[in-house]
Amino acid sequence: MTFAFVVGRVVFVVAVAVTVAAVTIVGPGRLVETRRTFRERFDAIVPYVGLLAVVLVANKVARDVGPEVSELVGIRITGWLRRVDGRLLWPLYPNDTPQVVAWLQSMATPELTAYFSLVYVYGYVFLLVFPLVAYVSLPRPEPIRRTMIAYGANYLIGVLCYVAFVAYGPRNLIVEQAEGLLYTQYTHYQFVTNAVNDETNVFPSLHTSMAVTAALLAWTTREEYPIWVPISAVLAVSVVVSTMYLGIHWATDVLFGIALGWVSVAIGRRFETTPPTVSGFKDRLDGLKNAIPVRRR
Amino acid sequence: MVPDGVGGRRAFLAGATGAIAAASGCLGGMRNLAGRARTDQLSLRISTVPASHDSYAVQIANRLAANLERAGIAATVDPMSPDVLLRETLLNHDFDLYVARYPSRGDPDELRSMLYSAYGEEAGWQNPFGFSDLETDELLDEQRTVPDSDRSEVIGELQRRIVRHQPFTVVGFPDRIGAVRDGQFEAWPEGGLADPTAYLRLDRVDGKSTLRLSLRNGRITRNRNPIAAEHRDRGALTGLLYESLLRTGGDPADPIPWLARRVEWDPEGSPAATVRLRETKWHDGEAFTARDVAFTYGFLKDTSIGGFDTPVPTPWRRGRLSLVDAVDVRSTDELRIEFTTENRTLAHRALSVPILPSHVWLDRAGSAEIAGIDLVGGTTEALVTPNEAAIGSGPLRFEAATADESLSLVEFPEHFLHAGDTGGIPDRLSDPPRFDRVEFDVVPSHDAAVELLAADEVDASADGLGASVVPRIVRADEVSLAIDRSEEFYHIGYNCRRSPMTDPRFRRTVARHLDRTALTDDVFGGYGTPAETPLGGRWVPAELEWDGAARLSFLGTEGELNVDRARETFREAGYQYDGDRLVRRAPS
Repeated sequence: MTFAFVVGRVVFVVAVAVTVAAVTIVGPGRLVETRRTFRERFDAIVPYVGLLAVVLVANKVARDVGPEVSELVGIRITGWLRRVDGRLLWPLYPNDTPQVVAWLQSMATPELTAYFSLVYVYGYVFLLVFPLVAYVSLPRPEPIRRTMIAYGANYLIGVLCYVAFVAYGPRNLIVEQAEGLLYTQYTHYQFVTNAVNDETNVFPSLHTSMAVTAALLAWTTREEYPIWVPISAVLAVSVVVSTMYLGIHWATDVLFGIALGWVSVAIGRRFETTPPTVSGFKDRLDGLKNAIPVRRR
Repeated sequence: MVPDGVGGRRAFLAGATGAIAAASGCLGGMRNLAGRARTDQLSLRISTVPASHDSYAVQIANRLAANLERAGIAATVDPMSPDVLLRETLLNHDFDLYVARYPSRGDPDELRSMLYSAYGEEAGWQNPFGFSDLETDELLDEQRTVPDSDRSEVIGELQRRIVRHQPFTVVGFPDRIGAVRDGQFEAWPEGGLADPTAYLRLDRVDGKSTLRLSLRNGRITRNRNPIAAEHRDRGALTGLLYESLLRTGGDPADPIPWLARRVEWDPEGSPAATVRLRETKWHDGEAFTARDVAFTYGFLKDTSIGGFDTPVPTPWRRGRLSLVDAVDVRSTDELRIEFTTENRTLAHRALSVPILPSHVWLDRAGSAEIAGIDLVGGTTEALVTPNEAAIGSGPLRFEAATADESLSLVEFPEHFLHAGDTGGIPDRLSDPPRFDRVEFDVVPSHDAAVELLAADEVDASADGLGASVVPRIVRADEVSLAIDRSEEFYHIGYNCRRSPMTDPRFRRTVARHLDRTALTDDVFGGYGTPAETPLGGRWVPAELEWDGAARLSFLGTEGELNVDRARETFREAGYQYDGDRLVRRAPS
């Protein structure tokens, strides 16, 4: 089966890359220490793991049910995205402004297409998985907690947007100018991406927001993993560019994706010491209620 | 069309007027001005499907939008999935313009469904444009009553009228591009598996086995209702599950007796026939009888069976039902059917609607409700049921499906083909299918379909492919192209209920923003024929035959719009410009 084969290859390549990175970036010392103190570390992040699981299940449901609901209630914004994208390069080309995606693809070479396709699939998965390994291997629990919260926030907000907005990417609309390069050149990946996501889930770009999140998180752990900062930055920028270069996302999706990544990290930092709870949420709601002036007699 | 804050502006102006009124005396002019609506640029939405479903449609829409934009109209292309597009246009009539492929079979009577004024309020491919023209109606009725020899004349006149009034603009006929794998099966028809009969004609190379097909449009994995207009095109797949009395295997004048063993016509002049049925079973084991046939014809005319104030006809194949006047059951295997036309070719059309099992569909005559509440009104259960079990009488039976992933159909051993009851059926079709199951694999794109073909994971593509994958098909080993001309045409539909699409002059000018020759070359990749009329072949009057230019000719040359000419044409049609924007009085 094409699908199983492609998935198997992605898992294998990423596993190798993460192992190599774990040995070189995290270092054998930290790994051995992690193995020894596994229980305490696990206890420190238990509430967060539960939270992440809840978010992922919710996300799964939303992705299955979401597109159907979205079809009925969602706002169709593809036309707007195209319009905005067509104006973004105005400072560079005041007359006859090109679409951002078409402009990027005008520089396409087979090598670049190969690079961005690999980054879009393998680089992206590696960029998300490696921080989990790296941060579990740190004695303080905050980075791993922050990461899980930030990932969860990305998914949750992203899925809400996908239900609220129905949008198709450039490859589905401006076919004359932009090609869905990944799918025409490396068609087999489409079986995987199609299983993970619906083609109307374009705004915002979750590839972008997750990659930006990983890079921003790398900055917060620059003391422990200085070398991870430039590596994650290069990977994140490549992933972000690839989403547009491959004709999958509009530049506008990417801009909102960057904002979402930034917000998610802020949320992660806010909750890294105390996990968000239902009662905490209720307290805040009550606080909000009390803030609204009510006339009492 | 986007409504905006006209009211606010007017209110403000009115307020200002009032204030000045108190201060001075000269205000006649001011009041006249404030009472007028502001002018706004005309904006239009062009609905279509995304490129991953149909890259032809989206490219036609893009070109039209770009040219209209240059002529001063704010046109936006709005892609949506195929079932949403059909729902919005055919059922809700909520669109300005749309670009789609009409699932034609090349029969002139289809135009009656498409354009008959009285169908304007109905759902389905019945006059989705809301077009109404008395003379067109007369022609549509006339083509049903005139003798065959005069029919071409009437149809020709009808086509002239369509070109003149442009209720919709025909763009061209794309070829059906099929891709098939050599080896496991042979006798692939030209164009691939376009019709249910094509499946039956297939021959295996050795041993009975599974026919594996890729499918781009996965609607059938979610909905198997043979009369749900938003989920069906030509009904090629539901046609494997549901059968009709006659099947057309190409020539509509010479149909194949299918569920009907024999059709005996009354002597010339009387539009009625006696139909003898074959002995066969429904997929759930119940016997197929004349009652089912009579039920189907009544039910499709009014799916509420008299339960609603207004009949709720089937949205799919509605036009064919109007050819049947009365159906009488004579015995369990004999019926008498009276038609509204003396033309037998047309009557054959009436006999090719899917026959439904009465014991399943009788319960679907009630109003469609969500949690016990009738939200929509005037809709029966029959129109909205996904019909998952799909109990039909076809040579294949539904076995399993996973939404948007796969569908399996298996051989139905109790079908009459297995019993050898095949009188009147041509040789190649009279054997049971040469495979014991069909597995459909839903693919995300046409490229993906070719990828699976090349990897020997499917034997053919069930739907037609786009020209962009032809080089890949040619490159792949043991995969062949199967190309055929098609009766399906791309068209631009106008919502004639909405201004300014109400105006034929406007529609005629929009039609002149399309360069069909350039479109056929660039968009269809040369695999297609430009056309201005919805029917081809012998139905085209000589002066409308395609000779390289349209009667409503393109306002430019070689795909490039002449902006000045376009604006001049809109001005001549009575439209006004403010600078380079076509403006209209804003609705207030």
